[in-house]
Amino acid sequence: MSEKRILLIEDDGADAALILRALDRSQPGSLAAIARSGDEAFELLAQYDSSSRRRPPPDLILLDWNLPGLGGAAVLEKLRAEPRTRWLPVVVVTGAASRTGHADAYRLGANSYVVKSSDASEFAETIEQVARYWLSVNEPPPWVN
Amino acid sequence: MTADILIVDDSLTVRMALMELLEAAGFSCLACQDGTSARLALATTPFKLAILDVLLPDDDGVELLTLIREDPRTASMAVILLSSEAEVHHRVRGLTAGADDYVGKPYDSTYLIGRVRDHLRRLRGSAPEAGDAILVIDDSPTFRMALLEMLEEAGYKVLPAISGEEGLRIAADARPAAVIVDGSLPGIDGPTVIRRIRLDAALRLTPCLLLTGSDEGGAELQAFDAGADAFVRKGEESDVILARLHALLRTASHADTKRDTDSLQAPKRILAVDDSLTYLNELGEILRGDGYDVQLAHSGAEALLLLSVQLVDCVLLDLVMPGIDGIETCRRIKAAPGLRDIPVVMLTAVEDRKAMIEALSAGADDYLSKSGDADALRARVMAQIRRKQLQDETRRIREQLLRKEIEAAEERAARETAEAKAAMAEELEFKNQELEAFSYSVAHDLRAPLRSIDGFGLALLEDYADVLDEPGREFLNRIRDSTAHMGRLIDDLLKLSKVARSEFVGREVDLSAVAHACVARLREADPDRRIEVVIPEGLWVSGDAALLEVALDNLIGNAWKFTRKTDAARIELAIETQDGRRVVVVRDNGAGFDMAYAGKLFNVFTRLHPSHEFEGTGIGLATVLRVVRRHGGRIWAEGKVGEGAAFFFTLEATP
Repeated sequence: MSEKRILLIEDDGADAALILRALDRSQPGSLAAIARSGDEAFELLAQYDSSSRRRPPPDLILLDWNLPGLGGAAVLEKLRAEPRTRWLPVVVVTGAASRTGHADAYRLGANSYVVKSSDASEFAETIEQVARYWLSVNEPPPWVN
Repeated sequence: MTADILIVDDSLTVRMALMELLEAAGFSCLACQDGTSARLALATTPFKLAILDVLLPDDDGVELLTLIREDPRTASMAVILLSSEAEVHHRVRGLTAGADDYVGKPYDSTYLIGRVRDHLRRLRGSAPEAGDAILVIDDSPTFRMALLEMLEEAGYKVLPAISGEEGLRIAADARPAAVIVDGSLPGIDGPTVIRRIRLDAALRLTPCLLLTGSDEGGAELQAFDAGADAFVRKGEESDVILARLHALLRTASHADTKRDTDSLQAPKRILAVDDSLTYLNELGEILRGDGYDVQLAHSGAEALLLLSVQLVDCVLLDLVMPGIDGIETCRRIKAAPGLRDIPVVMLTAVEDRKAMIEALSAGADDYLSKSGDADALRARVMAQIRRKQLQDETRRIREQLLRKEIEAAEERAARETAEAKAAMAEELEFKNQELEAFSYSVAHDLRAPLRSIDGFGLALLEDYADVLDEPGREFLNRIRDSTAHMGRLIDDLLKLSKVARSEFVGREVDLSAVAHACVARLREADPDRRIEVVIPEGLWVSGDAALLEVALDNLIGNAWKFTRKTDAARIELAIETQDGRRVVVVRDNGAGFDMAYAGKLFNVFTRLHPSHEFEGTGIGLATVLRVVRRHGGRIWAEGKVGEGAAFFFTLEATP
C-alpha cells in the first residue's frame, strides 16, 4: 500500500510551518503539497490523476477556514460539489471558534473542525491525531453523497 | 319605583313645597318624613341626589349622610343638607361628613333649583373614582400604617413615603389623586412639600391635606399658609380624615366643570363674618332677599374653618372682632393660594381712614361702612362678585392656554425622548456588533502570533536541545509559560464578553446538578486532591443555566484553587435566607482574603495573591459579577486571611 498523502491549504506561513513540523515528526502520512489559497488548491487538484502513479490525488485535505479571497467555506463547498474531490476527507482548521463556524463547516461537509490551540504541544498533537484518524477511515462524512 | 331626588324633612310644609318646586323643574321626587323611612327608601331606590334636613325627629341628617357615603351603592350620589342651623360648626360638620352643599333655611327657591341642577350636571361629568392613589407622607411608622390601613379599607390605593423628599419624588412619578402630608417632617417639612407641589405645573391642582399636631394652635392658619386645601389634627377620629379626603376629591374632580358652567346668573354664596349677632342676621336677611346663599360666622377662626371645607364667592368681614380680627383673617385668606381670589369686603362701624388703609394693605378688595344703606352694600357685593366672575373667566382661559402649552411641551419632550431612545438602541446594537467583531479578532488575531511564539519555542526546545545550554532552555520555558498565561487571559476575556452578549434564557435550574458537574471536571483535572465537597441535593433556582454554570465554575474553581494548601480542605454550596431573600453561597476554608480588598474583588484584573502562590487571570470574579447582574442580583464576599472565603449572591432584583 502506497503512502498516504496530505494536501494542506493554509495562507499563514507560520501556521503552515508548524503543521508541517507536526506531520514530519509524527508521520501520519506525507505532505503532498501546500496551497496558499483556494484557487491554488484547485489548480493543484486539477493536475492530479488517479490513474497515474506519478501524480496520485491526496488522501486528506487540511483546510484553513480563514483564507483570504475564496474563503474556507467556499473552498469546502466547491470541493464537495466536484466529482473528483467530493469523496475526500476534509479537516477544517481554524484560528478561533466563532459562533456559527463549526456548524457551517459540518453543514458544508467537513469531517472535523479543529480549533488551532495556542499551546504548541496540544496543537501538534491534535493535528497528528485527526490526520491519522481520517487517513485510516478515508471517506467523507456520511451526509455527503 | 324610580325617582331622581330623595327629600327628607319632618315638616310637611317643607316637603310639599320642595316636591312642588322640584317636580315643576322636571325632576321626579320621593319624600320621607323621618330617618327610618328614608333608610328604607335608600335601600330600595337608586337616587341621584338627596336633600336632607339636618334635624329629624328620629334621626340626624348628618348620620344619614354618613350612611350614604359609606354604602358603595349610594356613595357617589349628591347630597344637599338643608338646615335652619346657622352655626358654623354645624355647617362644617355636614360638609366634612361629605355633603356636597349646605343650604340654610329659609332657602331661596331659585338658588336651590340652581344648586340641584349644578350637582346633577356634575354627576353626569366625572364622579370620584374608586381606587384613586393617595400619597401619604409621614415619618411616624405607626401613624403611617394606621392611615394606610384606613385608606385601603376605604378602597384607596396608598403610596407611602417617609420623607418630604421621597414624597415629592413619588408625586412627580405617580401623580396621586390627593396628598396627605404630615406638617412636621425631618428635612423638607409638610408646608414646604405643599408649596413645591403648588409650584409644579403638573401637580398644582392636586388636593393637599395637611396633618397638624393635635396640640398646635392655629392649625387652620398653618394649613392655609402652606396652600393646603384642608387640614386634619392628628388626634382627630379617622372618619374625619376620610370625610375631608372624600370632600377634597369631590371638589377636585369637578373644579373645572364647575367653573365652566357657573354663569353670572347662577346663585352665589356669601360668607358674612361679624361678632355681633344682630348685625349678622340683618346682613343675612338683606342678602338672602337678593337670592344669595348666605353663611354666617361669628369669628375669624370660624370663617377660616368654614373656608377650609367650602369655597364662597365673596366674604364680608367685620374689621373689629375678638380673637383673630378682620385684618388678620383677611391676611390669612389672601395668603392661601386656594382662597386668595375670593373678594373680601371689609366692614367697619367707624369711618376710620387709617383702618381703611390697613385693611386694603392686608389685601381687602373693598371697604364699607356699616352705617351705609343696604343698596350701597348690595351694589358693592354685586360689583365684587362680578369682578371675581370675570377674573375666574380670564384665569380659566389662561389656564387652558397654559395647559395646552404644557401638554404640547410634554408631547414634544416625550417624542424627543423616544427618538433619543431609538437612536441609543441603534447605537447600542452597533456597539454590540462592534464588540462581537472585536472579540473575534482578539481571539483570532492575538492567538495566531501566540501560537507561532509557542510553536517555534517548542520547535527550538525539541529540535535544538543539544545546541542549547541549561539557561537557554530555561529562557525558552519562560517564554512558553508566558504565552500559556496570555492564552488563558484571552480565553477568559472572551468568556467575559460572551457572558455579557449571550441570550438570556430563564428557567428553573438545578444548581446542585450544575455544581456536581463542575466538581467532576475539577476532580478529573486534579485527581489527587483530597477535598471534602458538600452539595445538598435539590437546590433549585430560576435563572439562565449556561450563565449559572459559568458562575459556579469560577466560584467553585476558585475555592478549589485557594484550598490547595489547606489540610482538611472543604468546599460548601448552600442556599441561605437573609432578610427574607434567597442567597446562594459558596464557602471554603482556604487562603481567604483581607476584607479591606472586598470592594475590589470583582474588578477585572484584580488579583490578591501572587501568581507563584495561586495562579489566575483576575477575570473570573468579574465574569461572575456579570452573570449575577444579568440576573438582576447582587454579589458580595466575606473572608479572613488564612481562614477561608465565602461568596454570596442573589439572583433577583431586591427592592
